[in-house]
Amino acid sequence: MLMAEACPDDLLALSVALTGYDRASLWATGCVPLYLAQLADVAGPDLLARLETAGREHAAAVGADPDAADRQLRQRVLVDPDLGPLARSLIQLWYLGQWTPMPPEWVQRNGSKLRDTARILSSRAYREGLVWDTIGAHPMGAKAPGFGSWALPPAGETP
Amino acid sequence: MSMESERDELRSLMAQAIRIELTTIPPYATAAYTICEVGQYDRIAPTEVNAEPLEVIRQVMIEEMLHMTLAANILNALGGSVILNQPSAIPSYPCRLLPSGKGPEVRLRRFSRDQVRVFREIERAPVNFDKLSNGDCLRAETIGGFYHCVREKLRALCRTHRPDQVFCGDPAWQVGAEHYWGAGGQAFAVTDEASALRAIDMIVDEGEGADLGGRAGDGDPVPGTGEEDVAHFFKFNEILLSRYYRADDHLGSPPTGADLAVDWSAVHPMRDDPRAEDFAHLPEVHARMLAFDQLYTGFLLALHEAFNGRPERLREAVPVMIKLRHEAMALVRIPVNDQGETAGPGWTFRPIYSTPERAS
Amino acid sequence: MNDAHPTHYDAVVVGAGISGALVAKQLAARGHHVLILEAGADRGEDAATYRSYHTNFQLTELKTPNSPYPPNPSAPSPSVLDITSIAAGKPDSNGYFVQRGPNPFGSNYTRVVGGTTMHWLGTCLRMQPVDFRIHSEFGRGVDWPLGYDDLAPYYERAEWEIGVAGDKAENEFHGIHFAPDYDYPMEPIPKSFSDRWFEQGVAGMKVRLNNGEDKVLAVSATPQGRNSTPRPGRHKVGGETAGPYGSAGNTGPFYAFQGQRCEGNSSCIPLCPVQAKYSALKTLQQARQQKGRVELRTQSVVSKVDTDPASGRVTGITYKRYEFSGAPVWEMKHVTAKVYVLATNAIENAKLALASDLCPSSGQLGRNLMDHPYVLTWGLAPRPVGAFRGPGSTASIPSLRDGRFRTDTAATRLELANWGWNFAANSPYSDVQRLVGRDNLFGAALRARLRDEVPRQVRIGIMPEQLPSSVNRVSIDPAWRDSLGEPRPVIDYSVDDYSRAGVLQALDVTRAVFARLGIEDRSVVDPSAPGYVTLAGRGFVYFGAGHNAGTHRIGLSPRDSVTNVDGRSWDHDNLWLVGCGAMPTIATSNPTLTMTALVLKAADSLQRELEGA
Repeated sequence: MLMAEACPDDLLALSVALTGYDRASLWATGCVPLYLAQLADVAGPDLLARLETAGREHAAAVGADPDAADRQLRQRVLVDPDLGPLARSLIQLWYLGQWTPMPPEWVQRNGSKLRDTARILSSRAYREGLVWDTIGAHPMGAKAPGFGSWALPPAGETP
Repeated sequence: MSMESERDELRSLMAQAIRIELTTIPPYATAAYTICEVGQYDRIAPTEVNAEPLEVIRQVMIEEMLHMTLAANILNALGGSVILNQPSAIPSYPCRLLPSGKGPEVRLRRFSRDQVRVFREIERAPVNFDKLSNGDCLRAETIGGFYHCVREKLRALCRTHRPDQVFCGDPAWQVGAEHYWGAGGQAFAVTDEASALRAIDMIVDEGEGADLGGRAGDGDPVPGTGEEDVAHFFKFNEILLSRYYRADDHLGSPPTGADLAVDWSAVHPMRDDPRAEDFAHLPEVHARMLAFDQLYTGFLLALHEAFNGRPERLREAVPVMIKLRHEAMALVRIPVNDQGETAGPGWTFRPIYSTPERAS
Repeated sequence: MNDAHPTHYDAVVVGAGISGALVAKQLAARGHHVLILEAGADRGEDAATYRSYHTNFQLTELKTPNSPYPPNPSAPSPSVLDITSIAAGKPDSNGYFVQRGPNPFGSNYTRVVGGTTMHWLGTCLRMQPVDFRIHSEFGRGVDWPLGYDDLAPYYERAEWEIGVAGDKAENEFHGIHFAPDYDYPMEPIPKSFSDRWFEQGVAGMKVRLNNGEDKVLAVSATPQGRNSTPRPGRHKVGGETAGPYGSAGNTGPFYAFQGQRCEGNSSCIPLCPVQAKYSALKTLQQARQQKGRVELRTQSVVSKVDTDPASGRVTGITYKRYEFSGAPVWEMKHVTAKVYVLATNAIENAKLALASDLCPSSGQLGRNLMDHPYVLTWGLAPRPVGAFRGPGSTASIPSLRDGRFRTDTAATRLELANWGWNFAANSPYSDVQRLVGRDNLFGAALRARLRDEVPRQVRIGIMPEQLPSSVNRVSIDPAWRDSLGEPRPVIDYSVDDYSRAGVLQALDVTRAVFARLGIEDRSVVDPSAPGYVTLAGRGFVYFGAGHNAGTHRIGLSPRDSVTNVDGRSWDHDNLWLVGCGAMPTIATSNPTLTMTALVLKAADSLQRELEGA
């Protein structure tokens, strides 16, 4: 499987930049191997190497000037016709646990890939979507917060 | 001994009982949370594994919560006070289970055969009750022996003194089903000898089952099913033997119930006895483990208040308990070294006013 | 053939949902032997199957009410995904239903063990006393053959069978009343933070309706079939002393079937992972604990109820037993009993009775199909209200459930939703997709926007009363059959101006509420949606509420009803039809509780019949 070749460190750095969550939080989902394998399967080795480079460079630059690092990431990755769709699908994968297939233009340029289908990758992926944490809730049907918790003010609010 | 001193002795024994029950919860919880949780987690094999052992440990754990609550009710009925807001009252790991220093060493370790064997030892029945009955309870070598001794002392006290002298606590401090419901059975108020003995019996029967002559069943009907629940010792043995007990099965003979599938490899490789201090070199992990400890501390402080005259606060402790579970499950997925070992919950009591550890 | 099963019973019940389970439980408690025939293939009764339902739900992208249940070609269920606009003269046969319109029937049900309680929300509202006599009061619909006070003891029993969490005081409006020595078995489920925000916001708010009537809005906590904490003490329930409500909250290997206290999983529709929400699996489990034998045969699709032409009595039931879902062959079987009970949902009961040529006298069989054409309106609150937390709905605004306006405008219930725009717009999925795909956000900026917007999402659901109408009906047509050769339900359905006027009135009120609370209206009305309808130039989109009712109504006379008030068929002395189909009108309450009360009344009459009383 391609996963072994993928460099988790650089792709994790890229994921940190794209999601706004730190490494520990991404590892805490338990989905790192699954997601990076999915990304590698669709991207193929060349595009994956370019994503790794982008992740490495962002990690190196973010300490000095986070805004500049983000601007560079936008220019090199998000607007790129090959890397942009992969990055957007990767963000949605982290936030929702589901893969968003590449747009037709991307497929024309890079060919269609076996695993490039819309689906929730696993039930854990469903439960670990970052969006639920972001919105101060919990995945519907999992990680229940306890009896009566819904009557409390939303997190971060004072009563 | 005077009534007061006998009652004081019982109070300090019940404080020990609360500590014993509390001691078991983090190790049970930790083992349960290192199990790769129920549901599909591998895209190649969309199967579910270890749902059963996870459920078995979960059941034991929430019954321990109930036992702790009942022990607190007894202590409050005796006019004592529960202390869960002092570092000295909170176990830290590794530690010994019993005040005698006997019993297995209790550690925070991942779900493994060895660890489940330790759990089984924790819940093992004493061999001979007579040896213990009039002795020093603090020297008991098993939980069952300890409670047997406490029970005898309580009965002795009640034989010689008026109930209102013995049970002089404020009934409003009792935790009943209205505050504690939905898990592990029914909490009830302790106000007299009968209810105090009933509470001790429930703790003992659900635990090691010895009073039932080595029968697996604990006398608790599983509501609505006509089935009988089995005691903790047997529950852990079920996991080790990959088979459920039936209530009429006996100690010493193999279980005769249905298969219980256990995959010992579907477990997160958590480092033994994880503590935040050990991960100061990984700031994100360190911060997360400290946050877990803060959550646990807040949980204990809420329990402290609940057991000290504000039983309604127990309701607020429930969401915190659930958060502890999710945070622990997150920690055990974070790798901390090249061998793939992971972080884990440290269950360390860190009240805000104590000196904070400094990340170096 | 090796058939160890007996073929004669005291009672044969068709359908293992809440109605069938309750009938079986009551008859078995008296020592009678009951057979339940269930079309569905699945056995949700073992923990592994229940968990697999849950996994299916988690892995399905479109989390529809039936998403946990594997499609079963041998006993198909309707799906909300099959609904399309219907062109004149061209029925929509995409799904299991054959829809002839003019409007699509948007509701569904579940053919599994446990029936549609396997995906219901759990709302347990009583009907208002006036709802039982809307013909007399407003010249609309029909009156019921019994009144609120006749049904009250059965409401009490129903609430205790389901284990309803509720607060009497919050539900005493528009004449609804409770006996002083009665109370709900469980303490109320707390209102959500969002409910309370609405409650404070509308406090004292007066609205003037088009007919000149003034209404003061209020928020009421919804009684729900959901475990909270048993209410202490003893109460009079249907004339008998009961309590405290026990048996829930256990942790043994069967914990799933009695359920724990609600822990806020926020997936009540379709299913609760800890079974805090009532499902018929609980009653089925209890039915098996009774004196009499209760046998459940799944994968058994009833094909025909056989009758004796001379006496009209039912002589037996013929069913098709298939070995596995989608099996190309099946076995024909036959059973007999002293009494027979059709206890499936309103549409399947009608379908089966029509296919067996039952109940011809009134001409009402299959007619008067009703639902709550459910309309959504949603917006962004000026502050976070904590969307996506708690049971799907914990409160509603009942102020429009009654009024003088009902002579020409439908009553409505305004349901406050706790899951943001999930049902309305597939949030939070669509929010992430929009912010990443369209607004090109990533990293901290993306996080901040989601954090800011999603917890402010609010939604109100409008449930208008739909009147019984002979043109809204279930029928069968030999041209349309399923893979077992059984007829597929053919449905004629429309939403009339009375219901439409009710929706428009409610939309005006919700708009006023939004304005008062500073909620930015984000509702979208799509004129190409299948449920798009208009009145006086104003359009809205309705969905099905899953409240299928009215196809075999109870009544006082064989001329205008299918059964008597106990659900006993006028035409067939030993046949009962129970379920939501029995309801003459649907009012503005979710029908399950009223249906359950009627089922318990029917069970009493079945018991009397079997015991010769």
